[in-house]
Amino acid sequence: MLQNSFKSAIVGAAVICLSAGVARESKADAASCASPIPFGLTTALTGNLALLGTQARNGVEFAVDEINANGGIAGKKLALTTEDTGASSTDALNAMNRILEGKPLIIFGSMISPHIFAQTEGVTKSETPFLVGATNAKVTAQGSKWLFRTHVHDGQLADLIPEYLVKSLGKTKPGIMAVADDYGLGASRGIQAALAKFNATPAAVTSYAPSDKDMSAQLLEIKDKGADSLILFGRPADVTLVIKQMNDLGIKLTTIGNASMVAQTTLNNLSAAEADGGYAIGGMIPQTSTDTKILDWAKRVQEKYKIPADNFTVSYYDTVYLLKSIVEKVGCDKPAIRDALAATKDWKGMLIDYQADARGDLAHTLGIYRNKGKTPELAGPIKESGF
Amino acid sequence: MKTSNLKTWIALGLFAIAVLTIPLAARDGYIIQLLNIAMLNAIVVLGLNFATGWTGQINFGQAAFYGLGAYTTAIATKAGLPWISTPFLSVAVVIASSLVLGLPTLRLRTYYLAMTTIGFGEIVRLIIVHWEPVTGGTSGLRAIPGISLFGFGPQGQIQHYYLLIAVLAVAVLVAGRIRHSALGRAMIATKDSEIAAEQSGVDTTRTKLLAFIIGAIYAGLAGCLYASSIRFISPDSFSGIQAVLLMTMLIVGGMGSIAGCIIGAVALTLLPEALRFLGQWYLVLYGLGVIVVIVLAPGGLASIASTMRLRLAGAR
Repeated sequence: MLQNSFKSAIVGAAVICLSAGVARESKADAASCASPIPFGLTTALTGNLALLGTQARNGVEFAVDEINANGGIAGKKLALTTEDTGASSTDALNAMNRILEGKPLIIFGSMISPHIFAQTEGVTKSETPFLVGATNAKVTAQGSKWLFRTHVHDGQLADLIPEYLVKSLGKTKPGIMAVADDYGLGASRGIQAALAKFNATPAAVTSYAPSDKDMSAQLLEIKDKGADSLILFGRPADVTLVIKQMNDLGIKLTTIGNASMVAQTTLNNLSAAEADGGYAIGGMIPQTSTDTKILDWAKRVQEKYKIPADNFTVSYYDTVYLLKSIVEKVGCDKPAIRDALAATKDWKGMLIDYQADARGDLAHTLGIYRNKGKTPELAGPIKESGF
Repeated sequence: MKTSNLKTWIALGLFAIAVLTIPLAARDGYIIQLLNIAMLNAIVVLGLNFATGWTGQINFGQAAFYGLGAYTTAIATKAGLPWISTPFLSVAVVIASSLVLGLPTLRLRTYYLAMTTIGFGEIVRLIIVHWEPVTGGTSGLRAIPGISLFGFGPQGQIQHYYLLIAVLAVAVLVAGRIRHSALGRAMIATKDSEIAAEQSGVDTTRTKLLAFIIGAIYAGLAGCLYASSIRFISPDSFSGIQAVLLMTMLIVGGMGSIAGCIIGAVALTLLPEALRFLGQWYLVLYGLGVIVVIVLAPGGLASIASTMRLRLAGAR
């Protein structure tokens, strides 16, 4: 009798465990998601950061359209709501509040770090996975367990550019020129610190305001102080101006910089002679790929948006597909999506593999590029130390 | 009580009831946050009205004073100072800065002040951008402690909304009292004709300096509240573009009119948000709207009601 009761108890416990397991399984089913599945995106579509911000929109929108055209996730379409942050942090905060009112499952933030700093607290409170491409190294050091970055950051660039310059190109006295904004100044400080590790001293450290159009004074200072190379960190529009003005002033220095050096928007405005020989380390760009599928993708993006896809477009595009694979696995439970993002390991994107570290950074592979005329060539990938 | 006075009081009462009941209709979120920013802008524009609207001095430094107040508060509270000290610290910093800027420049006439205030704004911006260990540089300062008086403070946007309404009401009352004081009359006289005002015994330099300082205090206090309620600040919120926007709010609302300052600030804070659905075209429509107001109502939005009243009276 007692034995029978014990057996019944075991069987009962097993049934309860099994039903709990089944319940969890059904909770993790993508079919239980809302229809359509709401995604939110805030990025700069107007103002002086629009050229940059539209790359995030293009990447996310292109992926969402593709997924919807192929039947969505478990038969449910994705509904993307996009809000413009303009160029100010206050507007970015307003844009995020509008997005949060729609209670999205996932929010994509832009690559503009001050906007992400302004938005993080609100998104964290809402307990929504927040995926950004913002390049300031400190973005993922804010202590939010809901924030993840799927693009390389300026801390990685600041380490790798001096390393490549000194070890591979044999230059030890570079001039540094950086745009005086969140992106450039943070990188400039990191580059100076990394140069010191290789016993290299910059000949001159200069910067320019984002709206500046004449950088000849900074270039002449770098030349006069005997620099053997130039580390250039800026946005495509101002990198174009600096290279043109170097050419006008007859300054010939080995130049290495961020991905703006090889961005199509930069190269489109330079002659082959001006662009030739410039080096860049940064997020991977699709145009240098030898894979016909990737080249075809880049062509389709350019046809749709009339501007070439860049490293950000790729990163945001990959992010949507990464989320698709996660939602298919864990359903639309926000904490489960967050946990799955934090556990990402060797997820294969278009150009790189993604792996989450303890801070929430998922991208650790960068590309080294060299312009041959107006055509950037991939010299090879380079990985962040430890990955 | 005259019928017209009674009508005014009824209208004001209905307006107050509408303003106070907005949070009942709007949830604690986007709309309330937007109104909070509009009220902060209104306080800054009220301050700008002293120097520009009433004294006739073109001042593009108001955004910089706004920023100084915000950064003073953020740095002080993050360093552990009690919040109650921050309005006083912010006011002290903006008074000192406005004296340093105003003393040598307000003796000059015409557009010199405009040029020096543009330069001042740029200096403040550059200091904020490059003094990174203190100001956070271009990344700004985040996790700024909120408003707290002896352990009590507003929680959530709705409570901030009521606090900001109260502060704005006090700012309006103070501005109204100053306008009808000897100083206010001296400001108007200085604007109308500096030479005539001096001949009448008005110390125009002192008047301009006082208007400038009072305006800076308004901006500094608004900056203090901005930093503590938004809890994140960065240089782009206090840039030259913001200075131009504040001036536009004053012009569109109605230069010299207290109601105009509030109308202009609220309209130009809400309008861009209302037009966002137009995508990139919203900037075109926004610009056109501003031009239309300036051309058709040179006295600003606040003057439209009185113009219509005069036209109706003329028609009768």
